[in-house]
Amino acid sequence: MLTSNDSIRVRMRLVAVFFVFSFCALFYRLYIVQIQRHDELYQKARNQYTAKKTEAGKRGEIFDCNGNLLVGNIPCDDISVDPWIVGDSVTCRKVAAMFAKYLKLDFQEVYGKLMRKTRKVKGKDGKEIVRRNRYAVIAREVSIDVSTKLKRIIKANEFAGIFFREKYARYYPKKNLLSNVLGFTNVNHGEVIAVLGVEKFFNKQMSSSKSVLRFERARDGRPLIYGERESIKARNGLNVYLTISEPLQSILEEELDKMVAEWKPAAAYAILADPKTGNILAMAQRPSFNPNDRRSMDPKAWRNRICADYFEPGSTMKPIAISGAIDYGVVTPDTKFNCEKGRWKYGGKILRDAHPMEILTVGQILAKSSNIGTAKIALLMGEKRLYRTLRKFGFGAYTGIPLKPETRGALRPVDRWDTLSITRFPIGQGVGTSPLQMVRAYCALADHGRLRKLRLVDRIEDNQTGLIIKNPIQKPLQVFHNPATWDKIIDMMCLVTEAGGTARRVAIEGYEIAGKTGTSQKFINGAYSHKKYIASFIGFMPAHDPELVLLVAADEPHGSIYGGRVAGPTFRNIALRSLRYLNIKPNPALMKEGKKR
Amino acid sequence: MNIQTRNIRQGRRTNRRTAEGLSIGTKLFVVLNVAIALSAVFLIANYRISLNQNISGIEAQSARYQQKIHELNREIETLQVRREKLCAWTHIRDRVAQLGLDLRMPDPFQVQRLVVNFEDQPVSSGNAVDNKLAMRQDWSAAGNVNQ
Repeated sequence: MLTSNDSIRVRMRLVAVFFVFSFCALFYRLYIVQIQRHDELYQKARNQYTAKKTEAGKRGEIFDCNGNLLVGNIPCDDISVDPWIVGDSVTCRKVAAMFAKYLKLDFQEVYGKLMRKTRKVKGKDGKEIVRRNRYAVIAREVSIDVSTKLKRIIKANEFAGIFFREKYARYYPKKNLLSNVLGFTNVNHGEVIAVLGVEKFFNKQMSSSKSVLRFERARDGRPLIYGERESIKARNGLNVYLTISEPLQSILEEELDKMVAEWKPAAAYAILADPKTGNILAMAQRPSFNPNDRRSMDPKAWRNRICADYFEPGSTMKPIAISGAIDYGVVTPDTKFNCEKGRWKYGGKILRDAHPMEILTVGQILAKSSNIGTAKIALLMGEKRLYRTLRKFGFGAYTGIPLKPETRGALRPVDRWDTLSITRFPIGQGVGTSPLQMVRAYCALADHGRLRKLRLVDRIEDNQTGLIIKNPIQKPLQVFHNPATWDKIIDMMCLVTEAGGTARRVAIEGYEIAGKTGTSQKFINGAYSHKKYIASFIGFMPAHDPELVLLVAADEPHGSIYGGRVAGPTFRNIALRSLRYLNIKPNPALMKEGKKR
Repeated sequence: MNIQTRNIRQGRRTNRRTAEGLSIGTKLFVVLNVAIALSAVFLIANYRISLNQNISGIEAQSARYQQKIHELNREIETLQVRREKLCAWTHIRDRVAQLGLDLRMPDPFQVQRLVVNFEDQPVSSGNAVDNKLAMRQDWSAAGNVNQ
């Protein structure tokens, strides 16, 4: 029989055992929570009180040589809503009316988005599950003027569930200006994709990194004072400074537009360069596009024809070939050739001149653009010397411009030349050059035979650190062996724009202009077309101290086919306005008496 | 026999005896010490709370200012881009046409520099008048002289 003491002892033991088990269970639980699932639970807790804020840095901008903005970033907002928070149908109506008014959206569409409180999704087992709809985009890239107005109205009316996500949109403040060269970017799922032009070539340098800030937050979302913080700073993209001068570019594009309006060519291009540095000061093509207006953009206008396309240059090739002949000592400016009254048979084919001519000096051959005379000079030169001359002037090679794709043109090696090649290549038939290659060759011709790489980018700048990466002007290659060659060829090229030359329309009072007209038949389906031509004019000024090299070309002009008529006046207008802008004074000795001061 | 009950009673008796043995001064001293310690803790805690409150207020204010600066920076960026848009030649050309401004091409000789050396001229009343006349002629001969 149990006594009262025994009963107390049993009860005490039972209680002790209970406590021991309870403590054991507690310790086991503690072990699980604190040691075994520590990381998982710690992360879970952290996620509840830790906020993460990401911000993208700014993509690098593009400027002209004087710091005028050509491509920039404009601040804007993406507006989204959480339909679950926005509220009932009455509030949704008010919110939808607000968005429709300020964002010029369709009321019903916005209202529909706000009232779509649930959405159906497929579960793991393939069955449809209904879930809360917590996200709907109302508008993208809303200007900050509008978004500021909206924020004020939202605050005043105490609307909830509307979110503004700050971002930058790529913006082209000069619209069509230089658009083919600058290129453009697209945005795909928040990622910037460079499509073409400088934007694509320097995409790596101009791309920015994202900033990430993790902080422990209070209930209202503000960072806790003593909370932990982790931050990765955003890096802005590098800014690119081009050699382009915006005022000159504007002049060039305006005059090019006038030419396109008058002659309605299928395409047109113009390039203005500084021969002493190889800097491209302006370059444009038509058709072009406005990168701000994606709806009106025609993919046919995207291609940068200036460096991606090549054409047969025609007579603009003659000064190159003749300068080679003079440099090798094969001819002098006074050497005479019989131009066969405009009809000459060689290699079983007839070569014609535009006008019948007889005995001409080399200077006259160039001034009157005789095909027969030039072909005879090339025959005296020989194939190898002609090929070497063309190669030295950079034909068949890249120009060094940072644009892709770039063509190397078409210049066959000597062993693949046929009988006619030597008579056709010096008159610009059978060889393909890009407009840029032509400008590069004329830059060499203008700068005493010094061939340089063309420069489009002057420097790249990091606006956060101030670091500047300069694109150096590279040492030129010397084309001419004989220093006297330059003077001779320049004097002959000046005759082109004087009385008796093919481009009298190009002459500008007070300035000597050395240049050459080009009227080339287009090679279509294995034959030279008698309807489709490329009319061009290329030259430099002032002839004996060149500051500018300019090419103007019209592809398939209507109304006239001649370079002197179609491209000449445009060349003159661009040259005159550019000379005035650069304050390059005319030579008083070349002006009429009445106008001299 | 309940041992625990007896022990408790014994303990109470002992405590009572000890408390009875303490003087009032000692009791007051102990109470005072405890009060001082408690109020020190209270003061420190309160000071800390008010300090935290201040910091929190300043942080909130700083966040507001930062937000304001951020908004202003965005506005400046927008204005810079807008300025560039207005500086575009196409825009200027349209405005020139709209306002009917009669602009003309610059003349390379419209700006001329005249160097007038007065020191070379002899100073006399008659010559001074001649010099002035000569200068006027130079200016009129130069035409549209700006400088």
